[in-house]
Amino acid sequence: MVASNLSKSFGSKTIFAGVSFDIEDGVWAIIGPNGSGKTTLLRIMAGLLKASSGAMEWFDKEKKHERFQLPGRIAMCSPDLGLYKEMTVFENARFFADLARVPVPDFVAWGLSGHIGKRYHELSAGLKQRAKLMTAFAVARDVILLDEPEQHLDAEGKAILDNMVSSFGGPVVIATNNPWKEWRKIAQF
Amino acid sequence: MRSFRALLAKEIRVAFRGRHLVGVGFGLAIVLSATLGFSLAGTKVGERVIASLLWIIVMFSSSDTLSRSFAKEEDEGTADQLRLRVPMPSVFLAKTLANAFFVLLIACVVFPLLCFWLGVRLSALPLVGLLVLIGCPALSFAQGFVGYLMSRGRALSAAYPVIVMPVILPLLVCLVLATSQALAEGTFSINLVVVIISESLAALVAGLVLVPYIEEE
Repeated sequence: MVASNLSKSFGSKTIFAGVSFDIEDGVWAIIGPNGSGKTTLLRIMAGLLKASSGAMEWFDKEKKHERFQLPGRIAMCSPDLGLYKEMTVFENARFFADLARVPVPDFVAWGLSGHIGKRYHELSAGLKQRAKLMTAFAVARDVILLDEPEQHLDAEGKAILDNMVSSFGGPVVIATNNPWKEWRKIAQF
Repeated sequence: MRSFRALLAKEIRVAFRGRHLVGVGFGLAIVLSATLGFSLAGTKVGERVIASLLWIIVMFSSSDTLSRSFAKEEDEGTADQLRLRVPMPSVFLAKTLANAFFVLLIACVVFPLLCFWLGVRLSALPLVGLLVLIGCPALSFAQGFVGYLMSRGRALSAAYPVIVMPVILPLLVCLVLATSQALAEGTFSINLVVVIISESLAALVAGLVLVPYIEEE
């Protein structure tokens, strides 16, 4: 993922400008206070939002990808992204696994085996976050983007997340205002 | 195909477990049909009036199921989850097809009730049933893109009747004319059915083609 001179404005308000980076394998962090544009930058990286100026290149520099060609390659977990509250944890996981054509995730590894029959809206905030993270990791193919991933997680949840982040094969980009772990590579934003 | 099947199954599951389709869609259809049935029972009602009542009740009972479904996905952050996984035209098509099924179910409630209350001739039922089978998906296809647009721009929602009117009105008129012909004469003009099918397919294709452009912006 290569970003060149990215900027984003909403109306007359500039959120950020002149952001450039080159992300390869490993764990990367975007650290900054509230309102600094971390989530906006992640959404641009995920292809969910268009930058006001600058260029974002994904995957293969030889073959330029457009935003609409990205579906299925990037996974994201963010407070803005939800699961279906009418469906159970298992149904949500199976639905997104079917879309990504991958097996249903390991509920035991995420400490959710006792909750798979519960509807998403019946879960506590921490368990909802685990379910969202589990779904994101299950469907992630190339890159995973995590926006405040430790939000609502207890010590066990954070340990599971740490383990999953460390064992993920591709780049992991974490946006946080509270770096609770020292990552291998840290990009100060 | 596996992902499209999953999208369709999800639409049906979420709709039946949510309150809107059952509470508002079917509820409104039953209340309107029963009210009209009680009011008009025993009076001589013309075929064109029966046909108009049938399609107006079906349209109003199902008018916001699709736009609401799109808007709900945006509100709950599941629309972005889908954008990350599948092209949006697939989501649009799955929602529109699932909605066609819901409109058909609503018509299956309205149609027998109106037939019972207003004394529709039994010999006309197969042809009217065929028109319901053609008309419900047609209504859904015609509403699809407008419903999607509403979810993308909330400011547009107030303008829903204005935007949807040019798309829905010709379709409704054709459906009413064909249904009243079927009720009165036991036959209907094939030209009307051709117009209904062509317009609804054109609306569906326009939606599938335009969704990526709206997403890009």
